[in-house]
Amino acid sequence: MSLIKKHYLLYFFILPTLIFLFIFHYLPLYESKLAFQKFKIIGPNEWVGLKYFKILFSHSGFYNVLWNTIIISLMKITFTFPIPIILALTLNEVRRATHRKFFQSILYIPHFLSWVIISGIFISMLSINNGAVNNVLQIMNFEPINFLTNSNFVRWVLVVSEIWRSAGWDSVLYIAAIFSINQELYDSAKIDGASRWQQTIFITLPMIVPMIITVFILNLGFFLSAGFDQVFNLMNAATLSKIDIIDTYVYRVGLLQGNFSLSIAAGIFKGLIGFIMIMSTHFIAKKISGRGLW
Amino acid sequence: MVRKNTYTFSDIIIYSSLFFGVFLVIWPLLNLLAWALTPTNNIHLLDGLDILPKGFDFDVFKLMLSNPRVLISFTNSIYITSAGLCLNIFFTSIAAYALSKSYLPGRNIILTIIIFTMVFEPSIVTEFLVVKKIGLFDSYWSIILYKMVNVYYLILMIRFFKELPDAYFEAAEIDGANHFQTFYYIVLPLSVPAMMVIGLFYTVAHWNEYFHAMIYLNDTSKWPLQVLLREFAIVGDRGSMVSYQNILEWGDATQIDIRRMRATIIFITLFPILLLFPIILKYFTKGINLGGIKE
Repeated sequence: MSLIKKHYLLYFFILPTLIFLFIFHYLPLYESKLAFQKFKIIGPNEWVGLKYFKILFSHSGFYNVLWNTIIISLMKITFTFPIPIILALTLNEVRRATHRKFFQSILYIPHFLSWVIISGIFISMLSINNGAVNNVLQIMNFEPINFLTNSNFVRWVLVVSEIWRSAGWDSVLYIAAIFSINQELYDSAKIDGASRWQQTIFITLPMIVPMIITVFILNLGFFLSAGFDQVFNLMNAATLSKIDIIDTYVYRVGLLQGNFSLSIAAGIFKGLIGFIMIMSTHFIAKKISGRGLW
Repeated sequence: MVRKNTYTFSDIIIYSSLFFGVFLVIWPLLNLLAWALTPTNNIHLLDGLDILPKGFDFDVFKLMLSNPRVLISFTNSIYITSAGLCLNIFFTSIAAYALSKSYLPGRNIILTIIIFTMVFEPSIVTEFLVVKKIGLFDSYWSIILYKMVNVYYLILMIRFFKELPDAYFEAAEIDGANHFQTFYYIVLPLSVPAMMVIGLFYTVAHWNEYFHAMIYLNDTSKWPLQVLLREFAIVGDRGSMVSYQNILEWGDATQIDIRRMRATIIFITLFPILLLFPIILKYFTKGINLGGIKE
């Protein structure tokens, strides 16, 4: 008790943060009860149980959205996840620190740009009329392609723009992990005559596996997110059916069409799946390698 | 290193692949700048692969920077970013200071309440309903306050404060300083680099804000630059910038290639980030040390 009295000032330091979290996190979480209610402008909302979840799952449009989300996430994990690892290993091989810093600084830039800007850049680059990519296709004698309205290509645009934005920055964690590897391991490997390539494959890579597993599990937690800001800014009427994901669906149904309950139900479904994914990969990873998130 | 200046075959592969990466990052940005700067008469000479403008003409930059909508949005962005930043740094660091004291009764319960919010994030719809209920709708404060404290940065700061030597705090206690004085006279001067790091990340987050601003700000004169950029360059609503009266006012606007205008406004929006970038890099190495490695 005397401790509380002595340090009462510290509670005042924390209070604003707690009030903030209460208003902007806990109150909205509490508002999620609307998923089980019928929203009424006048008068109290009426409890309807799982009605909106039933509507959601009987609605064929939602399955398309779910399918898109899964496909886009799978494509992103397959193609974007390994690149920061390869990049970190490559950067680690640059022997001059000043050179390495130069490469790192440039490669970090896109991470700090908003998706609005990045979409603007990609729209310009992929433009059918004098866009960089179509200029290259022209030189190679291919027909120009309008990538952003072509439903076969638009998911790949998401993958490539994701790589463009985050490959550099996402390598930061791996670089930090590589730097903390004990230098003696390399010294003894050199005595055994290991080449640079062998050192990378047999020392560096295995030593950063824990970091890779951690990042992978965390990524799976965002599996059903699939990048709202990116899709939202690169989407258009022609590609809606191919890249409409749960988050854009939540936004459209909830805020544009005003169907709050249905939209919140979709959001809850997404959050639940994310939580299950992160917990199950954590336990599987722990079983297999002895290392999970904690 | 024994062979300091000789480069082997693998070095060549490593350097050329990294240069290729750098090229892929820089080239779209330079191409965009080339579009913005090439005079309209020469625009037919320019294609998507050029990185240098064909001649220089700042007419579109002048046009954009004298456009009232752009100016208002630019001011809004600056206002939101600076007001937000002050609140962010102040509240994050005082809370982190208090939570770094492991003797504080109830600390674990408070930390659990805080960390819980990282696991379960509310959906945008429920957040919107709350913002409406508490009367922040259509106010700048909605987009400033909804990210007043970032829980990740809070934890980063807690870790940083924990590493400060205890001797300082013992000395302060002997001198009879209360926690506010300790924070102000001892902690603050010691944690400038850490605050710079989270401050820069907060700044970028505020500057890049568009989605919540789009939803919470009904009044278009309150829009930050990113929302204007989105309407103009992505949604393609030309009227949002060059409203119809304005088209009549400066007939020039219709003559100028729309793509030049888009490239220009993208550049105006990303320029402040490029200005900040060297500072971000400078404090960044300190940021890693403060964040991750030590368990």
